[in-house]
Amino acid sequence: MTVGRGLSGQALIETAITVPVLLTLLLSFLLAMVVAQAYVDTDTATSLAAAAAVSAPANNNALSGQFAQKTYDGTLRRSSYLEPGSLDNCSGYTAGGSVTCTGHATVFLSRTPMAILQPLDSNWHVDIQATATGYSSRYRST
Amino acid sequence: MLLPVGPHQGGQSIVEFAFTIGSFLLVLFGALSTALYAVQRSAAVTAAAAGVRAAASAQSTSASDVDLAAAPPLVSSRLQPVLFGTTLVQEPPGTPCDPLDAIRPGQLEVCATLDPADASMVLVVVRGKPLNLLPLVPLPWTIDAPAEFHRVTFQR
Repeated sequence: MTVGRGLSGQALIETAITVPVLLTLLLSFLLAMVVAQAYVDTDTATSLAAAAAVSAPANNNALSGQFAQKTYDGTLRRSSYLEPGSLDNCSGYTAGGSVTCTGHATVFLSRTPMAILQPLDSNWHVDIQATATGYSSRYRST
Repeated sequence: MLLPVGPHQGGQSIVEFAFTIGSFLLVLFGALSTALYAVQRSAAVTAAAAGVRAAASAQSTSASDVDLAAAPPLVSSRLQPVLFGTTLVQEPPGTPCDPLDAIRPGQLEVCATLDPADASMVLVVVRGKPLNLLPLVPLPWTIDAPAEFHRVTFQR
């Protein structure tokens, strides 16, 4: 019976290839999940901000924008890797009208375990945005 | 070149297969665990958002007071289909959720309060550690999903 040096070397190479590939695969699943969850968070915060903007008294641009901004920041503030960005066009409610907001946020993947997929980029991030429209009740007069 | 195959090589094949199938199952169950967690967390985020809209609205008996009690039952009804054995505890209105460390595994809490830093904002949080359905992959899943909304008041 003979086991050649070539065979044990082959097993080592197979393992050296297989394990990193599987690990990368698992981290890729986690990466996709983190980005998808960040998008859900941003979309939810933007929807709430749009709804808050139309809950302010009509024709009060500053208050409408303030309601929306506080709602957006308050909903996104707890995550360690998701930072809220700007909230665009989220004000200017007029009676009977609607407000369409665009929320921006940044997912810092470098702050997650998936950072080992990009070891050379200490600021690895993905920018995401979501758009939502808030409608007021038809029974409101102001 | 063909080499003779001996008993050690058969054993080697078994060990290699065990490693391969083990790694494959780890990735498979890891992906499943990730998917289940993603479903639960997405539901928690949207449930908290629905809850805070209800909580920020006025009470039926008082047009200028928030209805914190409306949030937990609403969040619970939204989360029920995706709890997968996790217990959901509804905190009394105005009571903040416990810190994550103080919540035992397999339990989620839902709480509705005014934001301690800004009383004009209503805060609904779903927080806890969902039950790990695949203990083979002990990933430390936690959920901390806040939703905040400016209180809504009405006037004639």
